[in-house]
Amino acid sequence: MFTFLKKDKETTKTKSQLVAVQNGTLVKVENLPDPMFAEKILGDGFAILPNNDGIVVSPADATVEEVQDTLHAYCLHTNDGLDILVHIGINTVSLNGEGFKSKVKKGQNIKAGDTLAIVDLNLIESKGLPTYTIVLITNVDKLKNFTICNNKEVKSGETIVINYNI
Amino acid sequence: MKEIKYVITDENGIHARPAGILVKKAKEFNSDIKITKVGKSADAKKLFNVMGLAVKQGDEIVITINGDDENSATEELQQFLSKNL
Repeated sequence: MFTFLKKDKETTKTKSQLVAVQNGTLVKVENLPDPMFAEKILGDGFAILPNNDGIVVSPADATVEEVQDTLHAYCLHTNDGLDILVHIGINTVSLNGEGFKSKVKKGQNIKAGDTLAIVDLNLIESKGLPTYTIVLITNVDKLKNFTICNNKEVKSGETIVINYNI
Repeated sequence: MKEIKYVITDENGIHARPAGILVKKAKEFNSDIKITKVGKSADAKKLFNVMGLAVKQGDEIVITINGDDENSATEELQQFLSKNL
C-alpha cells in the first residue's frame, strides 16, 4: 500500500475547514439573540441549535488553550494559528458549571470531532437559557476569506461548516 | 506608565462577554495594556489570555497601561470596569 504525500504548489495559501460541533440546525451568528455574539464582538463563525445532542465536539485539530472554570467555554488554538472559542449556551456562565462536563484539559491536543464537553440540554432549557453552541474564530483578521455552508441541518464532526483560507 | 487597581464586583467575573468588550476597548489604544491577577499577567488585547486569567468576583486586578495614549486609555478602561465589572 502506497501513501502519497501531496504537496500543494500554492504554499502561501492554506485551505482549511471547521466541522459541525453538534447535531442540529445551523444558525448564522448574526441571528443569535444576544448582541455580544450577533455583533461579532468576540469573533465570527457559526452557531448550532442542538437537536437533543448534548455532546459538543471540536471543530478542528487544535490544542486546548483554556477551559473556563464554568466549563461552558473552550479556547482552542488550531495548528494553523486560529484562535477558536467554543461557547456552549448563552449566559450559561451563570450556571457556574452546573450541567456541564468537560472532557478535555488545558494543553491537550485534540482532533476535529473529539468530544470537548457534555452538556445537559434539559437543564439549560429549564433555566430559561438558550442552548446554541457558538463557534467563533476570534482572530478572524488572520483569514484571507471564509465561507459558510448552506446546510440547514448539520452532523456532528462531519458536516464541513466553514471553509477558510489563511 | 499608569496603573488601575480594581476589585471585581460582577458575580460572574471576567467571562467571555466582558472579556470580549475589554479586549475590543484595549485594542483601540496604542499603549501596551496588561492585566495582572495575583502575579499572573495577560495581554489585554488577547482574548484567550484575558479569559485564561479566570478573574472572579472579589479578585483584585491591576491594569498597567504604557504608551502615548495612556491617559485616555486609563480613563476609558476605568469607566469600562465600573460599568461592566
